[in-house]
Parts: sequence; C-alpha cells; structure tokens
Amino acid sequence: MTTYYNVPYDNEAGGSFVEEGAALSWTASIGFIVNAIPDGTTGYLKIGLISGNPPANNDVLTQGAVTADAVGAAKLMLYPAYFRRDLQVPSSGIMSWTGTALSSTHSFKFDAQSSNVVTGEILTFSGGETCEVITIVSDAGTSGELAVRFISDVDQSLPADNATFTGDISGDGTVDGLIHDRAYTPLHLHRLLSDLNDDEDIYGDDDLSRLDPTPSGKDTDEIVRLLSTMVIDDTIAKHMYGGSVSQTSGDTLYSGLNLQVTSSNAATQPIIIQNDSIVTDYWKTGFMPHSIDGTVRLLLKTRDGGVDIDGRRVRGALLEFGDSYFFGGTTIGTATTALALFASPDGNNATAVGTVAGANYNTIVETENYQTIDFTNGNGATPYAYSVDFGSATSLETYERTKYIQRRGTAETLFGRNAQLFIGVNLNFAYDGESANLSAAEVLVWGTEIPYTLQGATSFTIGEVITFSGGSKGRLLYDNDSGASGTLIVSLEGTTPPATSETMSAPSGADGTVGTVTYNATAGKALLLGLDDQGTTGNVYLQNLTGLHPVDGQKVYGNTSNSSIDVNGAVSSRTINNQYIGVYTGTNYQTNFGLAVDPTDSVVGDKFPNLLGVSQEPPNNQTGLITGLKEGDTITCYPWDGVTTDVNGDAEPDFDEMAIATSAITTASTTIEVNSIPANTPAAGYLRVERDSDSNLDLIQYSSWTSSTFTLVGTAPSAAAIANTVMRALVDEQIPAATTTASFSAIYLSTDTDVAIVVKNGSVTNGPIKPGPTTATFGASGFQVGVSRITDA
Amino acid sequence: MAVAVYTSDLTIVVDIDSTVHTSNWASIGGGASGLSAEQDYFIQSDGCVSKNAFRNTTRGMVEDTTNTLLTTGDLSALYIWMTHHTPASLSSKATGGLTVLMGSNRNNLNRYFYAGSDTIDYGAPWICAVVDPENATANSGSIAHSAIDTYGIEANLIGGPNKGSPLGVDTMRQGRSYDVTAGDVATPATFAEAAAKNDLNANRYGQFQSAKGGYTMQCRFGLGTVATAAYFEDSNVAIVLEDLEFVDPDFIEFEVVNSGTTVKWSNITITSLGSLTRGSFLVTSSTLVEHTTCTFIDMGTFTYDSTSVLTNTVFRRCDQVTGGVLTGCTIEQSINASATSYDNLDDLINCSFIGDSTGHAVEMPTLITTNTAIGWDCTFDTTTYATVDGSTGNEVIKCNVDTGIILTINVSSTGTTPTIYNTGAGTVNVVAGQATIKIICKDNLSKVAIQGVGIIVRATTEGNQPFEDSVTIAITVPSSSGTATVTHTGHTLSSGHFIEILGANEAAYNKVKEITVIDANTYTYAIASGTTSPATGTITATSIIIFGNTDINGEILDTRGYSINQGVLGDARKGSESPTYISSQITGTIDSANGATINILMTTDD
Repeated sequence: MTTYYNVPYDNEAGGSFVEEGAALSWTASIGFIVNAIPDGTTGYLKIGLISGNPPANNDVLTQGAVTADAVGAAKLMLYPAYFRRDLQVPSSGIMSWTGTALSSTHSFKFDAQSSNVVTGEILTFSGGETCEVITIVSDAGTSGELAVRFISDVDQSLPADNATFTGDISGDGTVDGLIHDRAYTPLHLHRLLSDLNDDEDIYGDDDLSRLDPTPSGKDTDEIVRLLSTMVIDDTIAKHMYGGSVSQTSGDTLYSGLNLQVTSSNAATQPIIIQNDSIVTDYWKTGFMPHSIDGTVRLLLKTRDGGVDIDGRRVRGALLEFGDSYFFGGTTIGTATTALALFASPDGNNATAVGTVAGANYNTIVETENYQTIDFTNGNGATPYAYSVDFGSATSLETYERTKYIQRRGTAETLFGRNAQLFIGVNLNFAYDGESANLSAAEVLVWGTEIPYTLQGATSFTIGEVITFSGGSKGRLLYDNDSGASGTLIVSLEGTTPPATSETMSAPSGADGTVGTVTYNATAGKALLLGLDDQGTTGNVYLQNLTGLHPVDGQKVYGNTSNSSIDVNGAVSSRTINNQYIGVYTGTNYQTNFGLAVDPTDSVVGDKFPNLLGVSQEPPNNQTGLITGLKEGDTITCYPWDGVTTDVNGDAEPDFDEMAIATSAITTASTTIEVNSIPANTPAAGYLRVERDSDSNLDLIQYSSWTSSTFTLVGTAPSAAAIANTVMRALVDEQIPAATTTASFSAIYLSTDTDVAIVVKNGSVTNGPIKPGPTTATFGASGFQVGVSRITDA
Repeated sequence: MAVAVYTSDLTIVVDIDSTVHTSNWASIGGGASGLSAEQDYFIQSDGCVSKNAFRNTTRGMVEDTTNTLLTTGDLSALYIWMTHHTPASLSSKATGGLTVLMGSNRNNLNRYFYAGSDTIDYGAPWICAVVDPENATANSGSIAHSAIDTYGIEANLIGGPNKGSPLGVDTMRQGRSYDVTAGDVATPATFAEAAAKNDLNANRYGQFQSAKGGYTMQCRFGLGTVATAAYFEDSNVAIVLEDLEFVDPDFIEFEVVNSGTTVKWSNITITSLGSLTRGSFLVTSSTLVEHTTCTFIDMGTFTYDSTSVLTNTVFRRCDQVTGGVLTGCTIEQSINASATSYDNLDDLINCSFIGDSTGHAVEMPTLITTNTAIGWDCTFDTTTYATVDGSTGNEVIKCNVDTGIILTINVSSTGTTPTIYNTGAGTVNVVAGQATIKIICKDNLSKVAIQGVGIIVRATTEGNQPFEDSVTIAITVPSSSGTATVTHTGHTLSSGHFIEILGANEAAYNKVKEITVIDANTYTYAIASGTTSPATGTITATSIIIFGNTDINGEILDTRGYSINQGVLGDARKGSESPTYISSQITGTIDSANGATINILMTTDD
C-alpha cells in the first residue's frame, strides 16, 4: 500500500514543483509528487513515498533544479493522493470523476520497456502479482504510464519500485516508482472531502474549502453520509468499494457489496442481477480483490428518489460454461454486505463452447409455456411449463446445450428473456376472479393499487419514483393507463399509502390525482411460465422477479394483457436447482420443478417433477425371456411365491395369486374383477381362472387391465364364483415352428416377481423330453433364462 | 524510549581513593609528613588525602600531575571536593579560609579563595568547589590555564584544632554537563532520579545533588542530547542554583536538546542563590516544553521555542523571557531592559507584568514593515510602568514601526491599555475597549487541547460587523499588480482582518482574504494577476472574525472593538490528518465589553 504525505514547504527556488514529474528527493529519501499546491514560494506537496522516510522539518526538497524547505514534519495523508486528482469536487452539488477509465483500480509509471503492452493484456510482475491493462495512459518509447485492474489480491502485495513485468501477449517493462490506488473507499471520500474542507482556499479543479458547509460525515469507517447538497454520481460509485455512501438526506444510497467467489476457474466473472436486470459488468474477474473481504468489491445503488430499489435485494450468479452454475441472493444496505458464490467444474460440461454452439447441439427443440406430457407410465398426461426434445443431439449434448443457453454472456432467450435471467418455476398459486385471459410469458405485477384521474399529457414511466402530496413515495411497477385515468401499481415505501385526492408527481413530469387506494404490503413482479387456465379460475406457475410474494386475495395484473387475477389461497415457493434444466447425472435428468425432457428422449431413471409437484418417471418396460425352446414345446411361466414346491420338489405356481371379486358369468362377463392386480402385470396377456364346474383353470386372454379389473378378449368361458383363484399366465403356450423363445413384457414397478417355468414336450416333434422346471425372477432388468430339454425317448 | 539515563561528562583529573592518592602529593606551607592516605573519612569512593592538624597558619597540599589536563575553549571547570572539620577556625573567605590551588608546580600556584568561616555552614560539610581557571580570575597568582598541572587546596587557620587530620581533599574532576536522556510517558526522567545517580558513593559528581527540601545544582543540566531525546516529567520540586564565583556566568544552565525531547514541569521552583551564575533555560530543540505553575527566581534568560507552552508561571527578578506561548504568566521585576521579547503579542495571553520602573514589559524586536493588527490582553502594574507613551524606558511595549506603517494594538476587555515606546517613525494605534473572542477546542473525552483545528468564524446579522454588505471591487491598476480594491462603505475593519467576498461572477474574487485597509471605505486584498476587472455580479462582503488554526493550546482568538454585541457563526474542522474530528459548529455572541470564550468539545472521527 502506497503511503502519501502532505508536505508544507517554503522558500521554493529554482522554478516550480511539477506534479507527476521527476522524483522528489530529500534526506536519503525519494518521493513522487502527485499534487503541488503552490502559493508563491510556499505551498503544499502531496507526495507518495518511494523510499526512505517522510520529510522532516527543514529537509531540503529537491526536484531537478527546484528546491524548497519542508516546514514541519510531513503529515500522513488519510486517503490516496490521486483521489484529489481523480475527483472534481464542487462546493456543493454533483462531484465529477476525472480519473482513470472504468475498471481500472491502480496506475503506475513504467520504464525499461522493450515490447509494448496492449489493452487487455494480462501482466505478471516479478513478485507474482497480476493485473489487466485497462488503459495505456502514455507510452513514450521505453517508458510511460498504465492504468490497470489488479487481479491478484491487493491486500497481499503490490509490485514494488523496479519490479519487472511481462504480459501474456508480448509486453514488458519495469515499474518506475509507485503503484497508485485509483479506486477508493467511502472513507477515502470522507477523508478527501474533510481535507478539502480544512483548506483555507480552493485549489485546482476543486471548489471546496473551509468556507463551505461540512460535506460529509461517517457513522463508521464503512458508512459515510454526504451532507448538504454534495452528491456522487453513478460513475464515481463505479470507482469505489468497501462501504456505503448515502446522500440527499438518505434518499440515495450506494451500498457496498463484496462478492466472495469460490471457484477453481480463474476466468470466473460473477454476474450481478438487480431489479430483474443484469448490472453492466466492469469488474470482470475481480475489482479490488481482497483475500478475505472478497473478489469483487463494489458499490451498487440500492436506493434513489427516497425509495429502495427492489427492497435493496440483489442476486449474484456464476454462469461460467464448463462449471456448475450458482445463484445466490442477499439484501444489502449500509456498510458492506458479503455474498458468497460457489462454482466447481461440471464433469458433464467439458465440451468447448464453440462446439456446443453448433450441430448437433443446436438441434434441440424447447417448448415453453403450459403443456401436458404423458410418459406412458400409467399416470397419464400431467402439466409442465417447459420441455426439451433432444432433436438429433444426445442426452449429454442436450444438457451441455442447456448450459450453453444459460451461460454468462449468452444472447439466448428463455420465455422471451435473456437466459441469464432465467431460473425456472419457483412460485405458484391458484387464482380466481380472472378479468380476462392472461398472456403467455407475460410479467405479472402486484403491489399497492392506486387508481388515478387527471393525468396530464405525460404518462408515468415504469420504475420511476412517484411522490404523493401527503409525503408518501413509491416505485412504479405497472401503469394501466387509460389516458387521463388509470391504475398504478406501486411498491410503496413505508406503510402509509396516499389518501384519496392527493396529487402525485414523478420525475418524468407525469402527474395525477389519487383515487381510492388499495394498500398492499407486498409488491413485486413475476414471469408467467405456466398458465393453467380453467376459465375464471386456474393456477399460475411463475419465476419471481422482484419484491415479496403476493398474499391470498391480492390482485395480480398482467403487464401485457392488462388482465387481472386474484390470489386464491396460499402462495407456494419452490426451491430449485441453479441450472435451469436441473441436475444431470451423465445418464439421467432430474429436472427442476415443472420442466421435463420429451417422452421420446426420456429414459428410465429420469425424474420430472410436474407442476403439481409430482415427479414423473418414464416406465421401466422389461421382458421375461425364455430361450432354448423348440417347436412343439409347451412352455408355462407362472408367478411363484418363491417358497412353495410341489410333490416333486419343483416350484409350484402361485395359483391363488388373486381371487375373484365379482362372479364371472359364462359367455357374459367381459371382465374379470379380482381383489388386487399385482405389480409387474403385462398390459395384455393371459390369466388362469378357476372355474366353478371342476375347479380346473381356464386360460383366458385379457386385452388390458386397470386397478383390479382385467378386460377380456371376448367373454368368460366358464362361470367363476367369488373367491375362485386367479393367476397370471405370463407365458402359457405351445412353441410354433421356427421359434426358439417365449417371453412376456411388463412395466417393472419396484418389486420383483418370482416365476416358475416348466417346459414340456411329449410329441414327436422335437420330443419326447422330460419336463424341465426352472425358476427366474422378473426384476428391474426383466430376466432371461434357458430351459433344460432332456430327452425322454 | 526506555528507562531514563543520567550521564555526567565529568572526567577524572586527580583520582583519590584508598589505593590511588599520594604518589605526587606535596605539602604547602610545611608539614609534609602530615599527609595521609585517609580512610577514616572521605566523600567519594573509599578514601581521601588528609593533612594533620595545624593551627594559626596556612597550609595545604597539592598533587603535581605533570599533565595539563584542563580543556580549553569551553565552559568546563574543575570539580574538587574539600573539607575542614573545624570551619569556625578558618579565616574568612576573603582571607583565604579554604582555598583551591592550581598551578604549574607547588611553588607556582593560583589561589582561589573559595570559602571561609563566614560562608561555610555549620557541620563542616564537604564542599564541591567548582573552578574554571580559563574563565575566572584567581585571588592570587596568574598561572595560565594551559600551564596548570598541579591541583590542591589549602586552609588558613585562626587557632584551630591540634589533633587529628581535619583538612581533606577528595576526587578532582573536570567537566560541566549532567545529561538526561531516554525515558517515556510511563517512566519519565525526574529530578529525584538525577540526584540519586549523582549522589551514589561511586559518583558524587557534585553537579546535581539532593539537599534538604530539594536539590542543589551547579552544572549544565541537559534535557536530551543531540543524539538521544529525553522524556522528562516532574512536579513539586525545589531547586537551588549555586552562586559560583570562579566560573563563567553562563556556567549553570538548563538546555532542552533534540527535537524528540519532551519536558513537562509542574510546580517546579528554581531559585538562584546569587547573581554570579543565575542559571538560564534554553530550548534548542524539542517536541514539547511545558511549564505549568512553575516559579523561577533570580534566574537568567529563558529562551523558549514554538513548542513551548507556559501556563501560570512566575518569573521573578529573572532576565528576559522570549519564545513560546505564555498564558496567565507573571513576569515581575525583570532585570532586563525588556522583560520579554515577542513580535507576536498574541503569544502573551492574559499575562501580568510588574516592573521595577526601569524597563519595558515587552519588546517587539523586529522592525514592523507592514500594517499590522495585533491583540493585547495582558495587564501590568501601572506604578512601575510608564502611564503615557514616550521614551523613558519603562513603557509597557517597545516597538520599531517603520515609516508610513501602522501598528494597531487592539486591547481586549481583559487587558490594560499599554503605553508605547516606538523607536521607529511609523504609527502605533492603541485601540482600547476591545473585546476578545477566543475559541478553545478540546477532545470531548480526554479534554486534551486540539492543535491544528481549522476555524472560521463569520459575523452574523447580530452586531455591527459587516454582514453581506454590498461592495464593488476592481483590480488596482495595473492588472498585474495582483491587488483587488474593495469599495466598502463604512466597513469598520482594520488591516489584518479577514473578509469573505461572495457573489462575484468572476470566481477569483470570491475568497476569504486578509485585507489591508486604505481608508474608512476602502481596503485591498491580493488576487491572481490578470483577473478580469471590475468584478461583476451582486457582490457582498462579510466579516470573518477568525480564520486560522488553533495553537498548541487548542486556542485561537481575535481582538477588536465592538460597539454592540456581535453574533458569530462558524465551524471548527480537523479532517486532514490524524487525529481527525467531526466538524463542529460554532455559535455565540461576542459581548462588546467582555468578549466571548467558546469551548468546542470535538468528537473523534478516526
């Protein structure tokens, strides 16, 4: 950290001291003049100490031919000396930034350069520090000056005088003197203003002196208040960090935000989202990075016009392609607020971004808005807000494409918005009282409802602060403008709404008279992702954009449709994964709430939570395959309880697997109703049903089943009373010519089914053989078993 | 720093103890066989040289060292311990009762009559005689300083004992200074420690030693050295300065050395025993010198510097005082033709002067070449100072105002109108009936005075000081003169006052500036040459009553005349350097008769 001193002098001779000129020397010491404030042959120097000790009383100060005597001991300055050059301070009003370009945090002079640096080049110093060249301030051959953004932690070390540097392109050089801070804290601002306010007269481009009112105060070292009419602007704020600055009696607040980024990817650039917008990035991979306080330290305007900007909420995101994505949010205020963001390499996202930009990746097809999807898993079609079809891409390629869509800097859109802003469905509620249909993917708005009349020629501007004659204020979220009258939805500051007949005004020049106000404590915006419209009632599935959730009974407006609905019941919030598509295991998707993969691309193991909160999975269709058969063989495969054997010790079929629940009538019944149909039952097949007449088992074909009813192909061949046994005949057939296998298929549902298999053949065709019993288990992968055919000739 | 260190510069000339003493000793006046290596009594170490009793005669002893050890060209002296057990039998000092001998051999000696039955206290104490043959005249003998290599003593007895060995001489050293270095706030150097070191048996320097009720001193007492600073703090101490006949008059001195040295004295009383070596106080370099409620009697000059702060301190029958800031001090019966010497009368705050009818209270030594306004809030004894201006030599203030120049002395309501002796051809206007406004800034927790607080105090509408008066301004021809002339009808201001100009369209005019009064309706101030002239706009002028920084006492003041009470409004700021403070507003009313003192308790902003 460079230290600066204020050095009063007198007896100047041999000319005048030059700012930013040749080195200043005194007793065994060297310094650099940042500011020279002459008053005849006396004056002040604001110097940076390069080596030695600060000037003592009567030390002779020498810069080339110019000399002077130090008056008293030099005093340590309480702010970096360049701040005085970088800021133009009026006696009141708006200060102006006159310093280095946006993004730069430091500057230094260099010499001994053999190859020029270029803007954007990354320099590495002999001490290990790194920085990016923001501006080449000057270049006079082998020497010059650079404005840079330090990438390495500024609290660890800064390059010393004569440190060498090399660039990642071709530049090089040697530090000539000091590294100067060109980004400043609110405390620095307070100290600068206090210093100027101490001055008996104005100097340079500053117009603040002892004659003027006190310009600033501080509550703590991180909380500074600008007083009187003194204000900074957004540009100045972008050159500051490490605290908060309030001004205009607290109507405007710049809050300190410290992003603490944890990632192994040095190229990670955090994204800041405020009030549903991406804040323009000037910090890149770090701004005044500090090993403890954070990688990016900056000031963010969180209040203006006396109204907080989205309740001072802010979100940070890491969306580096190749890494896991992360969103984190916080509410910031005075001083500094830390926001931790984490990312790690995504093993399923290792393909180069350029590759993912092209085929086959770009063949995926996304379907947005409310839709129903049937995964043929027996649950029928259920609602979703988004689905993706792989097109000609693979499962992995589709995943990487969704990462590509959402990556930092993307131009891709989701639901009509830049995909960096998309999160997914994290909010839903039922509604009634629909005035007219909402529009797909429109923004819904809620807040305090203010009908108005007598609006002049100018309409209100969304986002501006409206001031009411009674003193209340609010930020405009929505204006259903019908000319001279209409309805405003505002996020009201405080809890006192305007009264009827109050007048209102706004910076745009718009005005009007307030009608009967409906006060709502909550206000905000959400993006409509799924609309389940059932007439005047229904359900909406949303991504919360700003503010606090609406409450039961609160009216919500469509920003595009100008329709309205009333919240009916509780509002549900959803916690979802940071990557909008959800989790990808490398094989399966576990999507976020209300998102799915098209059924044609889904595979067993995928999980797709629908908008009802029920996770849908594709069916596990499995086959029980019996091999080694020959024409003329009779093959049976019946359920087995896994335990019971017959007199021969062979597995005995589970004849009473089911029981008749409703009597079957010969040639009349088209169904067989049983007490309960087991899992893993083929969608169509055969049953063995105990008939009344002789208790033998009819083989009856069914075409489908639901719940406890089999629908027969034709009618029941025999009467079967209640409690008669029923058993699934999974395979029960004679093998025709040119066939060697028999099988059945069913959806495997969680529990295994043991089966008893017997092959027989007493015919001359490929027989006779001894009966060949065996067993198998129909599991998650079905089964395959070969029969034993031993001749019985 | 660390624990204080006390160092004497004395070096051995003749070492006398139980093992080293009689090699070259010779008797003076006979009785050679009576010289003894005395171990029964001594003052330093474990032995001295004694001589057997003798009566009604003059005898002594010397050692011829054969080395001329005394330094030249400085104020150092020979410190020699001597005694006689029956001082009442000695002749008087004037007849050489107890005499220091120095010469080139036993037969060529200078005699310095140092003491006698009429000067020695009862009890026959050891006397540490201090003699500088280079800067003193012997009572007899004229051996050159550079030729002296023989040292001793002798006694002239009237009657006297006939037993024992009552005449003794102990260690002889050469030097002058006793220096104090190091110390810090927690362990400051003190007089008690200095005396304790001096009084150690192995030392017995005789420079600064304990005495009943205090200490006696016969040396240069250095507070810090060129190489090492000191932190010295003490209180409630009485010190007596010996009146030494055979040394340079400037031999005894307190000197503060080193820019890092701090000296804080409170209730210290120093009395010189005579006029030969009064003892002076000199600040050569320091961080801070504070004298609070101290009393200095019959001493020499006091030379302070800008770091010196004197509060409620009395200088009684001392020589001239100069430098530092004196608050509430009393200077009485100075022996100098000018009791004090100050160019800036503001450095004398509420001080009292009592003269002896022969000198001035204050001399402003530098020729005053520019119109100057200055305040005066001190009082003086009208019976010992002239009551009318003139040149009798006992006017209160002596100054030298150059031809055509006006010195205005504004007498505050608490001050007594001084009489003036102006040795120059200029004019001195003493304006009585003035009121002083004093701003005092202190830390609100520690109550410590804050130096360097920027103060601006404006006149308000209450009162007769200019407040937003309409004025016109033009640059004095030629424009390169860098002088703006303000036409301000009935401004009532004086040169040296400050005015705030506002409202000019040309920003260069809008300043707070120190003015030079031309006449009742016009004054000038410096402006950047080349500024457009005349100034345009609705220009106003407001009196800035105080514009500057507080001093080491946290104070800044202004004295001027007010016909009615004057309201003021201003600010106290200190934000440039640590410790910083939150700006405080100054409000109040200056009573036209009694002035105003406004205390500002400031809250830290660090």
